[in-house]
Amino acid sequence: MPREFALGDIYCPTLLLIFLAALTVNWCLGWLLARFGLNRFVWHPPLFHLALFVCLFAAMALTVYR
Amino acid sequence: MKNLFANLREAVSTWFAADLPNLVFALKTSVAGLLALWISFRLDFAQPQWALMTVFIISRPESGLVMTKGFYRVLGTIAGSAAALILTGLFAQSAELFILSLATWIGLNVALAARYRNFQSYGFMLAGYTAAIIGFGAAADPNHAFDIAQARVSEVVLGILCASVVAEAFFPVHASVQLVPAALARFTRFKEFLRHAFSLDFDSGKMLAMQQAFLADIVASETQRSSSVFEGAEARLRDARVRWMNASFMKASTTLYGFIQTMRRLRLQAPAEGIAIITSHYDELAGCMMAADGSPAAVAARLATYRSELHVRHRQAMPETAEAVPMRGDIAAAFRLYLRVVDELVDYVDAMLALSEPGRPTPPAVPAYALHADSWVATLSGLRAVGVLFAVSAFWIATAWPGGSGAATLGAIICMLFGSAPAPTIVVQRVARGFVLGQLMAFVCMFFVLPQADAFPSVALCMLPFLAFSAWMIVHPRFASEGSGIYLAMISSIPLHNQMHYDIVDFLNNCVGVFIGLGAASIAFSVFPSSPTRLRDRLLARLRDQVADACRAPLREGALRHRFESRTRDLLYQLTTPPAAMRELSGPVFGHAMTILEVGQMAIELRTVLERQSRSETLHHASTAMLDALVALCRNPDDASRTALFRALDQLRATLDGAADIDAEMRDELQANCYLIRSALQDDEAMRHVRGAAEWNISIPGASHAT
Repeated sequence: MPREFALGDIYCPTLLLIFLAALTVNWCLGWLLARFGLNRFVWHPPLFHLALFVCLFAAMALTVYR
Repeated sequence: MKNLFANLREAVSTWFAADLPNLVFALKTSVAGLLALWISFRLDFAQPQWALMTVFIISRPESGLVMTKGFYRVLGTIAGSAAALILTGLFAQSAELFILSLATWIGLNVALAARYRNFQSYGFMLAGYTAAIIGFGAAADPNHAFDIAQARVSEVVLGILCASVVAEAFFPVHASVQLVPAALARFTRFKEFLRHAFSLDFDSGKMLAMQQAFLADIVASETQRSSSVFEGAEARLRDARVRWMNASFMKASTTLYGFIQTMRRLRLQAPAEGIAIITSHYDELAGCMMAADGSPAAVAARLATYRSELHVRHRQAMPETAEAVPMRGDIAAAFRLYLRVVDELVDYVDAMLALSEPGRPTPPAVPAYALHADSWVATLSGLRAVGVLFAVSAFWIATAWPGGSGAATLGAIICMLFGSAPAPTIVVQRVARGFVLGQLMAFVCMFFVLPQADAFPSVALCMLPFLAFSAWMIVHPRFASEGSGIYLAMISSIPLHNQMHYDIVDFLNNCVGVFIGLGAASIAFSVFPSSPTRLRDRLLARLRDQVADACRAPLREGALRHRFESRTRDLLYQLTTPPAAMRELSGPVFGHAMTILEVGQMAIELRTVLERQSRSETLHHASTAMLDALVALCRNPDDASRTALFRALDQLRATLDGAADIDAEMRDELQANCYLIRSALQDDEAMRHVRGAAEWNISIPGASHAT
């Protein structure tokens, strides 16, 4: 997978797209967790969601960039 | 000695308990700022101080506010950067044309910011001044314009990410957790209100105080709701429920107010046995509302049963009972209003239940709370910003002074940011005090402390006390304006780079520029002052126009009722808070607004019933004539237009009686509405409220006031 793509004449890192994708996935997961009330099993929900996002983003980025 | 220690310990613990959240906030903000600074150093950004500045600008104790402000800041920054690039591409060769087009862009954004009042307005403001910040740099160096814009956007986004992550991860403060307890407290107070209103042990002062408290509740809950959208998925799921709860509360309290007023008027004229037909139901309703443990679930269950029973009983019993007593038309109308009160209470209690107990069915879609933004105030602040930009830029072009662009931008920013503050001149004075302190701190930090630092950890240690102090000032209730002056001045005066340059000439130029910008802004505020009386007159005129809106605007299946309710309350809120507040008149203004709500609500209900009915041409004519007469009465409240309205009402009722193709239930409903409007406006007290400002005998100097 190319590390950069051209948007018009501007080179953008593919990481930016991955970041946005991870954000979307994280958002959907957050909605599901809230919808089914699973957040009550979590001690510190914001920290949990932040960690979840870091995991998602790292996993997706490493898959693409390896 | 022992006593002294005990006192001292108590004093320290009191201070600590009161100030602890502020200290945590100061530490969090500084950590977020240093994190943003470190990442921008590592990524070798051109202007790391922008990331640091962004963290300070958007930092608030509630993390929802941080993210909402951040979100609109990103949007505004991207739009502003794009505009700056386009303007640079078009006019970089000619400074005059460039400044002219920049001023037009800023003016446009100020006009758009006037359309909104909350965070959207902030986004437009940013689109305006980001264009100024980038534009001046880009026009001076067109070959690097794109790099400048890209650096600005990246740094702003980085600052927002750091601020949001730190706000959410460490000791987060969520405004949305307050929403449900506040709603339950309001529910309890509303039940109390209902009980007092029915047992008639209320004086007008107490009633007014309650209404004011409800108004403040609605506004607070809408503000918290709008900033808690980013506070996680639970808050987003709750959002629609809070909206439903507020909308149904507004409807229920307006109808209840109308009912109380109708009963008050009826008591003066109607015979006791007629009134007893209605008051005999009070105890049951009060019993339902005060159900066992008072929880929404218990109340909802009892109220739903009561409502279905009431409707059945009404259909069977009402005609015969009412036949015997005089004024049966008025009593039947009041009883219909009572049924409507019960219906709306059921809706409100259902909404409370859905809000307080998760897992209930999804609420109906409720349109957004309609706000009124006054175009005059915003136009004035836009004109001020453009004027300052022109004046300082002219000086800059004439003298080729290097600090000129900074001064012009800062002046315009201050005009936009504080244009809608209650007392802008005082705020600017306090910000100026903060600027003096901030410049001194920047001088000490940059020329005495920072030169000792040799790597990022020591830079961070050097900056920490300065940053923490200014962050602590922002949340301090007494020094908030000074605090914003401190960080604006301090951060913009310390050019932090990987390769530091300690240039006293640059520093002094910047410093002089900051104070010239500030001076120009405060001159602009005294040359174009915003006059509270003028604002008040405009708000009162809008409030009077609300009835016309209720009579003429398209109904949109219930959306009009919600818009009418929320906008009237928003106008009332603006009229009772600074800068437009009139302390001695808050009672009359409330009466005025509540009467407008009452009459407008009846007009909307009448129109809703009419729309459901396939109506004949004559009925259409009669109802339009009646609504026109009502609008005319509210615009020009004298006895002649009152007589005209009563004639139109009689005409409408005669047409209704004669109409053959109309459903009997609908006809009764419409007749009841006609009675209610008539009885409301027959009352001299209500007419006094309708007259409003003209009647209050205040000298409103708005007409002769210089703008």
